[in-house]
Amino acid sequence: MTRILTRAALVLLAVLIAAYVLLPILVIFPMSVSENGFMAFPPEGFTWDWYRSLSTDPTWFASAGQSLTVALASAALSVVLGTLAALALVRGRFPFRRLALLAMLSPLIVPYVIVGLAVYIAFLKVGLTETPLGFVLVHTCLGVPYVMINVSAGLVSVDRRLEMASMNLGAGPVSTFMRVTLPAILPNVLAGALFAFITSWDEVVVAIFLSGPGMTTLPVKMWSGIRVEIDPTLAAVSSLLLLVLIGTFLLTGLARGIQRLLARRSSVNLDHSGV
Amino acid sequence: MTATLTPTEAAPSGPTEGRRDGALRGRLTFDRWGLLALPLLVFLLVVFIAPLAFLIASSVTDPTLGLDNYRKIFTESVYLRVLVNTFTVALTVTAVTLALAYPYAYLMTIATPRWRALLTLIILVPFWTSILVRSFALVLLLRDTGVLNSIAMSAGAIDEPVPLLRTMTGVVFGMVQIALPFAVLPMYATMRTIDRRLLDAAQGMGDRPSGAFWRVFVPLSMPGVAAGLILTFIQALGYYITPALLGGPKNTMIGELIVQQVSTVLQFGFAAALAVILLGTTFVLLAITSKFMNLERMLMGRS
Amino acid sequence: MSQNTTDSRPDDQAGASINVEKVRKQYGATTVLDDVSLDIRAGEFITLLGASGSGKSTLLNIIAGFTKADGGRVHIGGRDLTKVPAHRRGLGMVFQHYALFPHMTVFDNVAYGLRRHGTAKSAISGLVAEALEMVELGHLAKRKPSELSGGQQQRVALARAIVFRPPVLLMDEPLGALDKLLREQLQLEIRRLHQDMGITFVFVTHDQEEALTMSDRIALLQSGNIVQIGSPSDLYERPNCRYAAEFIGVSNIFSGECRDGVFDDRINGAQYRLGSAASGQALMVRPERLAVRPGIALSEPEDNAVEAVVEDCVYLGSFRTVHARTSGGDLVVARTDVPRGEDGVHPGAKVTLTWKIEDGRVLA
Repeated sequence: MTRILTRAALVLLAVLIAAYVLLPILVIFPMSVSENGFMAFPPEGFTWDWYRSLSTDPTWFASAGQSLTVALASAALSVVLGTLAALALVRGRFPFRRLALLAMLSPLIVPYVIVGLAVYIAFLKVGLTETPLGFVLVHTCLGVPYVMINVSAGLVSVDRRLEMASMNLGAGPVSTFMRVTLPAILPNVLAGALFAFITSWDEVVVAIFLSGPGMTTLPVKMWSGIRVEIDPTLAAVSSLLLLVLIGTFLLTGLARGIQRLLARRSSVNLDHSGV
Repeated sequence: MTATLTPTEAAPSGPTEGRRDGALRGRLTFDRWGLLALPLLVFLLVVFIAPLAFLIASSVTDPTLGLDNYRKIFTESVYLRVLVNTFTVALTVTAVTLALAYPYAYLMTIATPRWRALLTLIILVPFWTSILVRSFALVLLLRDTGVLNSIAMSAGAIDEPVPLLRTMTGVVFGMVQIALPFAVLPMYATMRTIDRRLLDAAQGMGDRPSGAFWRVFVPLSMPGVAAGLILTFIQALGYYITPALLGGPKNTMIGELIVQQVSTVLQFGFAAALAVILLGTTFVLLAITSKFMNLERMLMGRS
Repeated sequence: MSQNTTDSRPDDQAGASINVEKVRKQYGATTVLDDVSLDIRAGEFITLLGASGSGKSTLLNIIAGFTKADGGRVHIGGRDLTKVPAHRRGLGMVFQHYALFPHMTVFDNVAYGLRRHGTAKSAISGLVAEALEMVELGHLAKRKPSELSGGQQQRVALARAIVFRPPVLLMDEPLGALDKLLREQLQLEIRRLHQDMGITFVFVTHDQEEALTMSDRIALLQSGNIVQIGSPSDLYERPNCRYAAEFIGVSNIFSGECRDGVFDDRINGAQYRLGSAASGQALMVRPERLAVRPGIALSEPEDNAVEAVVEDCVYLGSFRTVHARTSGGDLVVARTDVPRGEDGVHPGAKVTLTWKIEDGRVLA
């Protein structure tokens, strides 16, 4: 009896938490199509006007474009640096290992406000504030630990004997890495890249420090929107961002499915070539 | 871990030689794989660590050499109140998060795989959605003309809006949401490894189910709880966006104060001193944590 | 029921009887226990033997109260405990993989049950020490389970289960994770413990040799049913079905039919006399009951015989096994003494396998 009551209480709590986590963002879409310009609740009527006004405002597009550029570039840089570091971490020997690891993981620990302030002071001196390069450099710091963590996890489970077999069959180390190791850890690399991309795309605190009239990323533009004057265009932007997020998830899910399908086909091919 | 040769790397003397030459030489050598750590280390040193070092330095040099900035923080009540407030909010957020996350993680461990997947997905929503989208949603929810007040008023529960935005309630409401995944996931990771037969064993020896839960399950889940709570607390100390949007002037946190000092009064040295205090607290907490749990694993296992 | 036993000696306390009555358990469409009934006498050592999936562990867990039966009743010591939860049954249990609490010392693990049973604080340390002495681990009380070897953990689990002097001790494959030597040693220790304590032991295993070594009685389970219950020699000498014969020990089984006190083995073209009237389609003879004679020997009048060709002889020190193929294609295994010198039994040799009439057993 008490057992049933306990279970019921747990389930009730989970439902409340789910509502707490999901409901706020579910409110956004109805607000973005409400005719009421002050976004009072409940929403009234139905209109695409706020999306239309968004589409005619070039500043939103400029910000989105800048955000996308920064996110792509810093994800790419994170992948290169993070994968190399993961290789060193899992397989290599280098001095002051613990300290080095702490340094590599520190961007996860240091509060973003501090990162923002430190980088702002430093970049002011070298003229990197309000530049895409400045954003890419900082966002790479913030994204690279995720690549490292993901790729390390993948590397640990790679069977070294496959690499030995490849080299035994005459492939050089680089060729072995590209043909044997990399395919094995590719899912981890991609997951790391996705983390790094989203970290940059969403990042607002450091970006607030580095932004200015010369360069404003999308989150910063939203931030000033929310702070200064809440208007339904923000609801429209938020809805679109949620849509992009859902789309990304569906795409990665699809990609994983395709990958699994390809893996199955290639293993079938291997079987045939073996005969 | 023997090295395999990569032709593009200019290798120093072989690692095996280095190892023979005594511990110190051995510790200072890179093997060929180890060299691959250098690009990232150099990058972080220049872009991340050097600015932090410069920040720490400027807290005692800007505007004048000395500890004036720190003296100001610890003597003027305005700033002391911000420090106290920061800890109060962070502690409250941590406590509320614990109260919600523990039962949630427990439910995840006893749920069927399908329900567990759903529960995981739900708890990860705050992790994946943009903090601005969520903050914006919370503003819509909490403001005087917002969802909660409108519903309560039309239901006749209240006559005029209860202020939620710009209050402590609002800040905690917003921050707990962000903290939940960081608390639930480590807790679940630990709970999942607890052998259910131990609870049977306790009951076999005459313990009530609730007694078995408190004496066996709860102590065994503590490493995950501690990891989750420390992550939550450390993160909560440094939050900026949520308190700035949802909190009022009465509950300013240290992050907001830092931004204010830079953006409105341009006191870089003072802002740096505040940042050093926040950074120092963070690292002290982590150092204490690392005494009784594996920090590397905690951070590495986060994703 | 064990609060007031703090100063009683082990032999003061008799075990409790267990009566399992038409217990039924189903997981989805799979019937794990199919109306199983079993009467366990007070103080006996009974083993539930069976392959994995036979339902033996489920039966044990139902007796312990960890698993709820879909139907049937469980009485322990004459009381109906069917609806009583595990923590109020007062039984001792040793779990598969031991289930020691990793966050407690050996001492606290053993004291756990005493504390829950409300034993006086002053009495606890004495009782724990005594229980640990019984399993020869008195010196390790302050260790954590992770610092012990597998055999030591096993002993702690035993001490923990018996310290509050339960009337019944349940054991779920307690020796499964140990290597052979240690297992044999612990088998003897557990038997000794049973003799010292005089309480009822219910032991679950899939290892027939272990069951034969330890038990007063064995209940053999197959897909949710008890197919035979009896003493080890009952099960070995007088299996009541083909499954029991094949599960326990090595058996030679001839197929055929019983007619007028004679078993007609048509595959090998032979007829065997039966000691008593019986009916069934199989005749079983244990390897050590077979004698191997070179050539086509005339059998003694009281013996049955079948001819075969030796395929292999395996020398095993104290005895020898002979693998021989009958004309009908049955592979027969015989276990014989090792002869001094050549006795004409070698691969390729024609032999006659004989056995006393009463050593053949007809199976359903």
